[in-house]
Amino acid sequence: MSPILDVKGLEAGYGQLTVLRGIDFEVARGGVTALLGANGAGKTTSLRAVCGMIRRKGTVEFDGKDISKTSTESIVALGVAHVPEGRGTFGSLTTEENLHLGAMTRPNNADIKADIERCYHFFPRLKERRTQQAGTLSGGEQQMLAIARALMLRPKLMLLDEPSFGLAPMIVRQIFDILADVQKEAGVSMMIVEQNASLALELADHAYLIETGKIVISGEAKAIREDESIRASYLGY
Amino acid sequence: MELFLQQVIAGIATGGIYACMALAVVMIYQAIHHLNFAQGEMATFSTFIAWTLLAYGLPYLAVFPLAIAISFVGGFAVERIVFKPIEHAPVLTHIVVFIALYSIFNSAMGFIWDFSIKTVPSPFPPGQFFGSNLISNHQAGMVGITFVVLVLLFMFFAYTRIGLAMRAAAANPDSARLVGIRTSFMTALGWGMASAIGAVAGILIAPLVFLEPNMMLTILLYGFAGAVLGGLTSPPGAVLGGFIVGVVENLAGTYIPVIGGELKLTIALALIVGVLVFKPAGLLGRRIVQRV
Repeated sequence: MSPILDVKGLEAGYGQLTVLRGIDFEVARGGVTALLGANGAGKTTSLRAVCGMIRRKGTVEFDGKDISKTSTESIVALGVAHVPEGRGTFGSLTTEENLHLGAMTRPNNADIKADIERCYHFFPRLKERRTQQAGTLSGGEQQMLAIARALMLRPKLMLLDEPSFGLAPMIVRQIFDILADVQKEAGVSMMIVEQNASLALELADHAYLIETGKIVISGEAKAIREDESIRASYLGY
Repeated sequence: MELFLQQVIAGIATGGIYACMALAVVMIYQAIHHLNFAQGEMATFSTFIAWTLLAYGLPYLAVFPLAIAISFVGGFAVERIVFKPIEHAPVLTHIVVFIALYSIFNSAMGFIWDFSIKTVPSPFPPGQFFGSNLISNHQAGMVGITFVVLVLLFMFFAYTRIGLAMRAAAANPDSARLVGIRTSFMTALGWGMASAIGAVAGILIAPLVFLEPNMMLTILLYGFAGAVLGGLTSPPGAVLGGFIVGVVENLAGTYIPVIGGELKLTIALALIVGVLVFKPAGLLGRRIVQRV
């Protein structure tokens, strides 16, 4: 089966600065791919380049379609949900409005209401906060909201940028458990960028290690998790 | 007491017009973070269109929505043609383009309709509202129509999908694009709506002030004052600010002897400076705090 996301020779950067120097990676259909690496290696840049938020070169194929020239809005409409670094919730809008926005590219019908209920089933905390302004939620709740909003798209592929960032270990554990549930129940393919390598490797089936804009290691998540030398030299745990 | 009441009510009536202009300015400010100096000229242009349609003999009830619809399309087109290409340009570029737009509209109106003053009829019968000496029929109509327009806008933003999308695009453009909202289209829509709201203000005020190319110049200044007072980041604040400016302007003109009719405009400018010095975010505005 062809991968849901197939990236080849991706170069990307900001202004004059080139961050990614030709990288290849794939996300299997229904699979979870982890992209690991230190600060400044190009993890966030990779996700941004996939959904066209920054200047990029190379081929990006999603679900068999070339999206390397497609605008961010159209890529989202194809079914790519990006949960950005820092969550990117709409702070001045309510929790429920944020969820409605997640389904903005879908036709307006009763399914949306049902999907909001499904999100509340995954994240009961959000139901309690439904009429509250998103900006007043705690960090963990905002991360839940960001993931729930992404689910509202009924995505084929979710791009998750550091879902553990700035959260207490217990909340992180909770969020990763829910991600695992979502992945099993909804069969969503995921690409997850993390500094918390051990957590990401538990969820993922495949992993890439990125260093200064190049992929240095690619392999099965399980193999990487068990390889002492990789752990010691790249993952630091 | 009666004079006081009369002035307050008259203030609310013109305040509604200022509120519309303030709201138009804020809608564009929310989308592109610049003040549209040409908002008044665009509104005057719309009023001239209404005047021309009336001169063709169309009934007022058809002219009013038609002029608003034309203004919407016009505002949308101005964004697409003039501002889309410079969306990432620095502030100064925007200011120069706004000034250019101002003088283009102003001169175009002089060229098409000349600078002589014209009277625009009121859709309401002449005379006082229910025979009271507090407010004229036209003023009462102005209050009624601005109120309806403001309520409709509120419902649009609170309860429709596209209204929600517009709010999201203004609040956080990057995230809006990540949920698939075409933010650039939303900006153009905002321009269209601002232009339409300006048209409502222009057409309603015209019977009271005479129509000529500079008709909205001072009214826009009051609108700016209202927007700054209420907070440039808050549409409800802008509306509130517009009404406050209308009432304050009238009361000061009546009760402070030095001010009279001549210095009224100074109040608007003093208000802008005063608010910016003491409460830059305005009454309902949000102070933008950035982590560094």
